[in-house]
Amino acid sequence: MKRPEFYVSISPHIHSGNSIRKMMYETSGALIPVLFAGWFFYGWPALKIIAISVITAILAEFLWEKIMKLPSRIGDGSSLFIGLMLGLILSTECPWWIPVVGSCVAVILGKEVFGGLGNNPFSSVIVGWTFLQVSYRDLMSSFTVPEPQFLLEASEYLVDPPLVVLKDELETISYVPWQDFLLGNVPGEIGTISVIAVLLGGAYLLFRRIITWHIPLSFILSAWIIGFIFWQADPEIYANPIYHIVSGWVLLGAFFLATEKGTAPVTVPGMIFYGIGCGVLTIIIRIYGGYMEGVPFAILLMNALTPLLDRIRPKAMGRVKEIA
Amino acid sequence: MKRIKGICNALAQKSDLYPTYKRLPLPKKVVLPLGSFKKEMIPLVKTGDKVVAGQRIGEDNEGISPPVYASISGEVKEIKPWLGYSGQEILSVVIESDGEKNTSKIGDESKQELDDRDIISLINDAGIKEVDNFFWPLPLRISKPSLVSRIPSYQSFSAEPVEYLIINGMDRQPGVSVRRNALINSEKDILESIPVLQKVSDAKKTLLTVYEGYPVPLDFEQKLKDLGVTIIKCPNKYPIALEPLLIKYVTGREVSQPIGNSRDVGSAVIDVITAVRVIEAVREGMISTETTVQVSALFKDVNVYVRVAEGILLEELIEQLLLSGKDVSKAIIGGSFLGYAQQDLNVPITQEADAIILQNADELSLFSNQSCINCGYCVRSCPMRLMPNELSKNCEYSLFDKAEELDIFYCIECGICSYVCPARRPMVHLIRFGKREILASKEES
Repeated sequence: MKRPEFYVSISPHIHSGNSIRKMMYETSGALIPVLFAGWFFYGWPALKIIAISVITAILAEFLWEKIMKLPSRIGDGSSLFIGLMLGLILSTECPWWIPVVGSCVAVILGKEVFGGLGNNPFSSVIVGWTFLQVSYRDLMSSFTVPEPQFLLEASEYLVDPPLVVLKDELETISYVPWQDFLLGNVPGEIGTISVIAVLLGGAYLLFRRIITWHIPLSFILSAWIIGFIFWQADPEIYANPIYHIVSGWVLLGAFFLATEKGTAPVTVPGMIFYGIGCGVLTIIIRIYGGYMEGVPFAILLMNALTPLLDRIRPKAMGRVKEIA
Repeated sequence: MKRIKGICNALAQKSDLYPTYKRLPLPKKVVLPLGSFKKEMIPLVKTGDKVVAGQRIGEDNEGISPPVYASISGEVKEIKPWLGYSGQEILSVVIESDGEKNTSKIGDESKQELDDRDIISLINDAGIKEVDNFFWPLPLRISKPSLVSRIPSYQSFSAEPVEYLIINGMDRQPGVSVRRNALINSEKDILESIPVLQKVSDAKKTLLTVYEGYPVPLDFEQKLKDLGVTIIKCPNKYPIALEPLLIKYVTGREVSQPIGNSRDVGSAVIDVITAVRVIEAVREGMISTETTVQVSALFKDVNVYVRVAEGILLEELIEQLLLSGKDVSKAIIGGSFLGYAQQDLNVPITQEADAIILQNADELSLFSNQSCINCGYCVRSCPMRLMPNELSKNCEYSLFDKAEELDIFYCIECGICSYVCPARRPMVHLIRFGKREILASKEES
């Protein structure tokens, strides 16, 4: 056959310019407000933890690709995102090797062994975090009181993260002023505490249409509704559902963790069921379980259901009568 | 009106509208494909015959496809399979020009009053080919039930009465504006064609669809209103001008796919350029041997609209427009979303091609062999509500049964999934491949 004189390819002949790299960098960029909040309340130790985790994540991917003789995909930014995200869900109190171990597990066990980005069934960040949480629970659950860099005073109402307080001393939490919750002036992980910062990042993701509203909204709403049912049943034991949402993890989980590409369903009904599942499981784990965070385990469980949820798909356009 | 998924379609720049059509000199050679690769026709001429422009050179013995006419006068050089622009070899007639401008006409000129059957047979005989990939031929789609039943070869066609006659003034894809230009340049013809179409189709409602933000001149709007035409402004989104989506948007009804018959939902779609051809045939007995194409080469800042004789080779066309050269890396016939990239310039331009796009090396969009990351962008934007991610994965790994379960045949190959894919996967390629494999295996068994 004659050699073609021109480039021949299938339609379409133009592209939107979207790329995995762009998507990953934009998602990481959406974490800047969260990162800032982490620095603002915990100072330089917070950035140290994040820097360690980012560098190890990238290094881990680099070494894995070298050992397995794979083409380099570091440029796509997924390791950057994993490192950044993992650093943000750790406490500033943990020793330096915790983010190192976490990042390695997240990148290699969470992503690379399955064949790289998009093929991992479970959110790689949460795999790393779960490994740490299950293995080194004591190291992972010590927190300090935040010390804002300027303007604000350190909060003196809580010594433990609000989620722990929710479980044991319900009354204490009602003394904490609202702005402390919104800004993040409460003890907790670096990135989970500030409601405003997470909402800013989430709004950016929604605005850029990197994520759709289905998962975050159904996640948050269903968490609130289940919390509300418990609260109505017995306000003495169960907290006002709004505390469950503003006291960390739920918003970060809904916008950044549950929506991780490749681990979440893609159809609209699937996404809504997934969000509802995450929300319901979060509150159930928090109320009946021993892990105060709830969110990561809820997402991990729902990740396992993703292939099933993806089967709920809309009817194809024009499927009016069956083809013979 | 239903929401249609899709991508935003950048409005044509002001300078692209209201152009004057360039008329090129008669080509030296034309290649006229006889029919399509699905159905070949019988040539009516032999090698060495002298033909005049407008002479019938090929016809379908079943009378379903429109006949083919010579577009220039000259001598038939050869009749042989020729690679068409969609990549299939079709039996074609090669005519070399003798430089004379003779034309012939169709229809019985002595007849004063045309009845509906005469109009339909004129439309059928005018050699009108449409840009859109309609499953049924034009006369069949627009004629009223009583007319259809009298045509013997169409008896299997279920012709419900036409409730909505949709005259489509929207271009099929971003970057193409031939129809919007026809709305402006052929305003009179369109106005004249509407009563004819209304008469043969017996339509209850006639609608003209235009893009939102398209400036409809006030007097044009008034004249349309007098004819009982409603103007429908459609959102400026890409696949809305394709038949199933257009009907869905305008009427809210879904045409059954993949073998769609719009008459089942009482709609008939005809685009404005075809409407102009219809009135030319009905009024003057004119045969469609010319076609208007948009030629754009953005790297050279060229975007022209030319009227050429049908069958001109791409090579001659771009030579006359002074566009040929080493820097052309890709030549696409049929637009950037639905078109076909050509391997050489030796392909005829037929009426089905509305746009020719030339790209240089910087404009090329390359696909990658990256695996799907399941981000869901394609599912979000698929206008047919399919799951292109799953389809492409199944086709890639030869799981054709699964692809069929996922409604692969409902795909209209609009290319949006590929356009938005961050991993730049060649979705349309994989889906087309899957469709072909399934059809081939069905034929075997």
